[in-house]
Amino acid sequence: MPPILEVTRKMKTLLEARKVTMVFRIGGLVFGSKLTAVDDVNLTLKEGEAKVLSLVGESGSGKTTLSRILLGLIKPTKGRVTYRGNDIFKLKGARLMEFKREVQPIFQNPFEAFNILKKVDRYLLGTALNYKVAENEMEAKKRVDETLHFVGLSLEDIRGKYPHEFSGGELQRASIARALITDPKILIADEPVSMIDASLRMDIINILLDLKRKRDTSIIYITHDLATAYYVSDDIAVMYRGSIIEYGSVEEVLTKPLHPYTKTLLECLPKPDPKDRWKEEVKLSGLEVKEFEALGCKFANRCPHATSRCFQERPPTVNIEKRAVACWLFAN
Amino acid sequence: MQKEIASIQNLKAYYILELKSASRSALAEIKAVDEVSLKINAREILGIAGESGCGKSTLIKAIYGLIEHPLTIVDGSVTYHLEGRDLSILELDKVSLSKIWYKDISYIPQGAMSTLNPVRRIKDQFFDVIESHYGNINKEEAVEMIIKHIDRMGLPREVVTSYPHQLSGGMKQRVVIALATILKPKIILADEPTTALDVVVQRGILQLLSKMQQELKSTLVIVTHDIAAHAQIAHRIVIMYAGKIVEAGSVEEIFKEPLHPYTRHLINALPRVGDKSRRTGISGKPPSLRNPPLGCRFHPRCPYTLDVCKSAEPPQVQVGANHEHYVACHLYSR
Repeated sequence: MPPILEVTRKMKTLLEARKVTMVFRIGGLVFGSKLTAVDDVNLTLKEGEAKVLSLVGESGSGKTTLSRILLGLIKPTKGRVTYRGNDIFKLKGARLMEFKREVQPIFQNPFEAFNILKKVDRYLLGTALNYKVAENEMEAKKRVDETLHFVGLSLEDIRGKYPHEFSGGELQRASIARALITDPKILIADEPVSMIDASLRMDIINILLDLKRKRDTSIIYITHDLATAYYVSDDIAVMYRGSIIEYGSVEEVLTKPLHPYTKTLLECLPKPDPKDRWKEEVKLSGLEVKEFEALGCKFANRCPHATSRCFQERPPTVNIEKRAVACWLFAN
Repeated sequence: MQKEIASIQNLKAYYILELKSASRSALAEIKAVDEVSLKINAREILGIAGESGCGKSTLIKAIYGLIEHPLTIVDGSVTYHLEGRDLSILELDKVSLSKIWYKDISYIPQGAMSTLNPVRRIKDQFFDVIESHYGNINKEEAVEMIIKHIDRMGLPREVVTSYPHQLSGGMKQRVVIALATILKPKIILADEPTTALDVVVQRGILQLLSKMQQELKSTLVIVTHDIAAHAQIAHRIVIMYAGKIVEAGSVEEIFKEPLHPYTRHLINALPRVGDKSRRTGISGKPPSLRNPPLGCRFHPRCPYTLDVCKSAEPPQVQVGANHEHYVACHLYSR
């Protein structure tokens, strides 16, 4: 996919994925099959323009694999990921440290993000010292307390407590605070609220919004939930079976969707209003289809508009005003 | 006046755990369902909503009569009114329960799709259910009946000879629904039937459940934390908080005018596509069910707490024109 949104040329690229593809082998060498979890994906985040970008998709869309590639945790089969112009899989020394400081993850399950045998405050102080953002214990405490305040906690609140002594919501706040210790430029948050109680969820989402507004942190928000994605993001990339099929401002994409898949997702999202119920019955597919390896458009066999071309040729990515759509309906 | 098919009276279902250490042992009581009373009407879709840990799954297990250690019925009753006879399900032994399960009352547990036996073909799992009620059956006839039944769920006939691992999550969940409905039960209880499924499949499953409820003229009780799912299919909803029912009423009334501060927050704080106005959480966190707060269990988090809320449990107040809307909140009691 070509660079998608109009961007001022002067702004430097911070994190960029170019033609990133990730193929997993399943099963043995002889009888095994291939699964393309991420398929030729391009993404760009610019410096000096804090944004929330949502990656949305159903399970198996490749959104989590893509987030792990962007964090440098797994190396893609093909393509390049660069941070400040350097390939993140070739970083060494100070540059690698800089990348690790400036691009921080937030995980779905906060209980897995912390060492269960370590007190949370010790862990946070250790993080500050390890990343060398504090020279001594005193400075580390100051730094940790400051980041905890940002998420609505304080060092006093968490003193001497182990992870199991926290509620899920509190511990997720603490894990956001942990990510903030190094003052990152980018946070990559994979389903950060899907395990949080509904009554606490929006507070965590609001912390992400505050981060963008007050600390100029860009956030890649990975979720299956279109409603929170709409609430929190500026831009959105909709993924299907490893490919980005629609990309643009969240306002445009979610209120005036173009791709038939985005439309399907929005139609199936239950509206919290008994007066606005689904009218038609949705048809579920009968048998499993290997859409990952489809020759043409992977959505073709679920698409109401599919033509024979859709089954044979991969659709091109078309730019329509400020968004990109990968669909033959819009290709001339 | 609607016909009542089941009534739950003053139900207390606690998890009683023995905590042992070298020096002492103690009993811990987790009051997952505490003094809950509820009526279920014939041929309705009743939704039970609430956050994780509010007791909604425990309540539906008790309604099914599935009481396994450490879950203990401390008090109360669940009575069914089936074809003129009254049945207190919590007093039945295992043999009697197995006679009414699937035939009169079916239960789709949470994560049901992973409860299918991985080493048996789907048709064998259907035979087990049918044979447990009708003894030996003609398998060829039964297979035809099963194929006809799963065809209603949009499943092809190949499914009957498949093993569970050959099916996708959405297909397995449809198999589970087919198993639960094959003997045409009067009541279907479904616990989080759409969790862990994709949105398109979720919609398919919810529509399938409500279609089965209509075709079988049965009652569907559906537990889900997803309040929007209730808005789509339920006739009546019950909101639980910390082991108690805080509000119950028709889905239209509850969404139009939620009364309990907790319900109001749950509905108003939902993010919606097309609306970016600021949403907030409720301060504090859900209480421990070992030591729930005195008085109203929501009072430590409630923005409208009165003195009485801290000491006295709120009574259930009837509101609305047809007296079918209940709220347990001091703000509405005189």
